[in-house]
Amino acid sequence: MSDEAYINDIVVTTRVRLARNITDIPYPIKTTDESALLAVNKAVAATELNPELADDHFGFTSINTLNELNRRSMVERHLISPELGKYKQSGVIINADSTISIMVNEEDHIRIQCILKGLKLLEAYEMVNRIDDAMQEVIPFSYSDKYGFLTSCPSNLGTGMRAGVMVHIPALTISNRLPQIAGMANRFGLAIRGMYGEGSEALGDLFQISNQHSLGITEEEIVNSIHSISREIIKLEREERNSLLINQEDELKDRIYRAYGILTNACVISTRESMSLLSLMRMGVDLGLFVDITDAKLDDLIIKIQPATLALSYNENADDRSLNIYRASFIQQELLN
Amino acid sequence: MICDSCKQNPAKIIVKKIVDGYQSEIHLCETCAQNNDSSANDSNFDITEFIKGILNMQNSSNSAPFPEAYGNAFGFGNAENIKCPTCNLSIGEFRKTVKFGCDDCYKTFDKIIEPIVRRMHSRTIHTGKVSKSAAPSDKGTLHEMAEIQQQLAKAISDEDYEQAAIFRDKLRQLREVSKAAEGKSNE
Repeated sequence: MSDEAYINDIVVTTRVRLARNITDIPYPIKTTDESALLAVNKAVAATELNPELADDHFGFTSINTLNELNRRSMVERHLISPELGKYKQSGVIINADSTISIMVNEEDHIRIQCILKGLKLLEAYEMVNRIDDAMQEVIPFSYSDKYGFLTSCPSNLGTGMRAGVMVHIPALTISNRLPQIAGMANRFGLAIRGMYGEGSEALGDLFQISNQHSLGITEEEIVNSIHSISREIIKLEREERNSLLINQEDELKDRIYRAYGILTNACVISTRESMSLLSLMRMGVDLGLFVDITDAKLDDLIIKIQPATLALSYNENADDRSLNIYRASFIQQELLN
Repeated sequence: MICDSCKQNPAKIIVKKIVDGYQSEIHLCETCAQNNDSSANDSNFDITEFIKGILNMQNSSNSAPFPEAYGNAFGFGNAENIKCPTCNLSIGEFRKTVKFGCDDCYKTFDKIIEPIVRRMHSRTIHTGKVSKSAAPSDKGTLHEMAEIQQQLAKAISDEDYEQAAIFRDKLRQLREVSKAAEGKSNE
């Protein structure tokens, strides 16, 4: 296994975001129609119309032009947060390959986000930093010498940066070692959450680990601390998988093959059940039990079976029952072909 | 048991959270539990209590053991009613949402921000990327303070209290210098 594959089977994605506000415009919670529109125009001028960013092919989408299903699907694909749309004139500016999304008028005027597959903290940081620099050539961002970049919520002050990784840690979950991971994250000043961020449930043994502090710490220090904990978690998860293989090989294989059995034979299946079974299968792929299936395919499948995203590919008016029926046949098709 | 949030309906759901190694429990009714789903409420529940604490400190009936730790929040008068002249955000609103309304809020509520920031980040001075729009000012002192703050934290975690005391005194000294400079620039 190459070094990259060795890491990517546990670190699924890396995410870095910067929170910024435009000077002399009230923040979204206190905005007027006029000032909210001004923020949008400035954000578009600094991205879509910025010659320095021409190669990124940014395009703005107003949240008002999206129907509810499309909006939810974008949340499921981590392109926008569930909160986007709460304030006036919100929207998102996305680049050609959807690796960078810039939310406008969420809690702050601007949230520059980059998501990459695997453990790529430095690359993701360099991408958002480049966008930040280019935008600052066009619009001035709120800043104070003492508190750094000013944000609506003081928890984002300073660098305005949140960096994190999504890790897939089924063996540590099976062995009830999550409290230990949470404790370790805490000592590094990091927080651990479910797949869809704060307050969300950890479906499919997927967890997000990100920095809690953004002030009094440099961007490099944040990147380094997430990197160190990621390496540590990779090591622990791998040790745990090995120990499960040594002590309970048959039981482990039984769980994984049963998961495969259900996924390829079920007629009705919920998102929640699919995700916990796909998580077991993903570990099976990593252990070499399924030769024709890759982690990347399963990661893609996990996004495609989310309710709104699945409904878009099937029938926009589908109710939960017909969606669960369609999900079962969709998964079968994806796994068997 | 009554809901901790609305204080009206009976609590049916217990939300357990571990923050900074401390476990806390919140008892909520079904309606408030649904609203509690939003990330803002989730991460800010204990910080809103903390802010309330700072604001209440001004009432002599509720004096803190170390009032000086809260800076000058006491000189605020009836703090709940103070509003930002630019965006009209009141401190009461901030307490509920933990969100400021504009850049000027950071000046208007300056006195209560530092304890909140310290609580959130353990630090109070930015050390990261410098904005292109940053005005040239007394960055020297601020950066030196930030550096010493880091050394102080390291000394404490290494249990080197002798060194820690030296850093603490140095930090106090610099804080005075920085305050004096601020006073001058405001004149």
